[in-house]
Amino acid sequence: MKTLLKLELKKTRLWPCIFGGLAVVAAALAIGGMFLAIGHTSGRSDPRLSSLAFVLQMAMVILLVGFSLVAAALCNLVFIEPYTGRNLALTLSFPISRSRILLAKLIFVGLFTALSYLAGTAITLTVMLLIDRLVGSLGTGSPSSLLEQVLLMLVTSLAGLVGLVGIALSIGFWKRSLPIMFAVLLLLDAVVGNLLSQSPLLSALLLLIIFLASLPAWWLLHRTLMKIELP
Amino acid sequence: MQVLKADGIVQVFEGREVLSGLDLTLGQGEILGLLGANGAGKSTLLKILTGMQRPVGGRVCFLGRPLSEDYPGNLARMGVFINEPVFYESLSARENLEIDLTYLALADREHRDAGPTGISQLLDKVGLAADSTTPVGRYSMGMRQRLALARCMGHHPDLYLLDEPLNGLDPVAIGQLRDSLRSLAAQGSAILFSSHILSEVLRTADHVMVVADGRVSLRASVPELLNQGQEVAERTLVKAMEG
Repeated sequence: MKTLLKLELKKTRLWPCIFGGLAVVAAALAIGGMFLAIGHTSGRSDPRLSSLAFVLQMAMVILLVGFSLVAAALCNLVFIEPYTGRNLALTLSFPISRSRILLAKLIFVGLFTALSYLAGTAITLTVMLLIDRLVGSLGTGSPSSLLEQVLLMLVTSLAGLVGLVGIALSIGFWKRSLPIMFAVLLLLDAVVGNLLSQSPLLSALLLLIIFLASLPAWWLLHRTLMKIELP
Repeated sequence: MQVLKADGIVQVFEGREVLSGLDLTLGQGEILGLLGANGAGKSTLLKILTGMQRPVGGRVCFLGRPLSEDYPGNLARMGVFINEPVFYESLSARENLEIDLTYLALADREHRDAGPTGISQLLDKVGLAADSTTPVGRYSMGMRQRLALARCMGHHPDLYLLDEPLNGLDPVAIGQLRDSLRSLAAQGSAILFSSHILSEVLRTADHVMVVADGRVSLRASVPELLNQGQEVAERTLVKAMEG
């Protein structure tokens, strides 16, 4: 499996995805910074806006939406491109069982997405906490409850990423269309992004529901790729 | 020894029968030239023989056993070249070959020693040593064809299935390919290749098989065909291609 993962790494042009990840972190910092500024100025009149927990939650929503787009771009390179058009002959010519190749691809995409998302979140939250300390803290409540909320959001966001990308990828692959995949993902991101401004528990529940809803989509994609043949 | 045997291959696309009970045998060291007009079913037949497309009817045996018995492991013993060759365009020829040989090494322990030296020899053999670090995206059609051949030859397969390998090659490269195929056949590999260039098929192959309307319209030994002279042989083949 290690060799298969190395091969996926070699075959995939990762730079656009890495730059995409950096852009997402920059966007999360910019928007999170804006919420921080609002919290420190006019937000004083609104207890929710002046809460650090809410500001961090907003930054994490931006990260979730942004990294779902990065993950979808990677899925295009790893799943859609190799299994469509002329590339299909090349992919099917490898004398390795299709399930092993698929598993390697899934692990590769999963590892890259999870690691880049975790690193992006760590950078964003650290920078925002530092800025908050420098300009005078917003109301945090208990630090342990803030940490609990961040961890809950982190874990459920990873599940949500799997769900959002899985549903969009399956529909995109079914239609053999990259624009359709991104259109579905943007639609889901828009709906989910708005709903995630609710309470942290409701957000976590919503992300878990999306994850569970994506399982049949992943299964369908797996079945299609296992049976695919040259046209 | 029989390397490849196909019995009663039937394939249907959108209600149209593309192959209608086609039979084929290919022995060790034999070169079979596959001819047919555009749309006659040559590429479809080759795709089925590689196992990358499933036929509606019939069966394919490779080295005496059903192809599906050890699939896709069987691909490690085939050199396959279907349609236009496809590569990782941003990678060099050397990197592309490294990827292919690593997959083969995973599939077959015998090829674990296929390293950079083997790759250099392969690139040298197909005349791409000087361009081995250039991204394949910048290659001409002929260079891509030669790299595809290098990929096929990388693991000394028992069977070569080559779809239009002469496309885009200049006369010198065609001559080199002919010599390569003859040498591979002399070493025991079975070769099935399709082409539209009748004269070249007659110069390279031991046998020719013509497909027309999804059936074998002619199968003949090349020396026998050439007994009547090159012109008559080519006319016979064209007539068979017309069905």
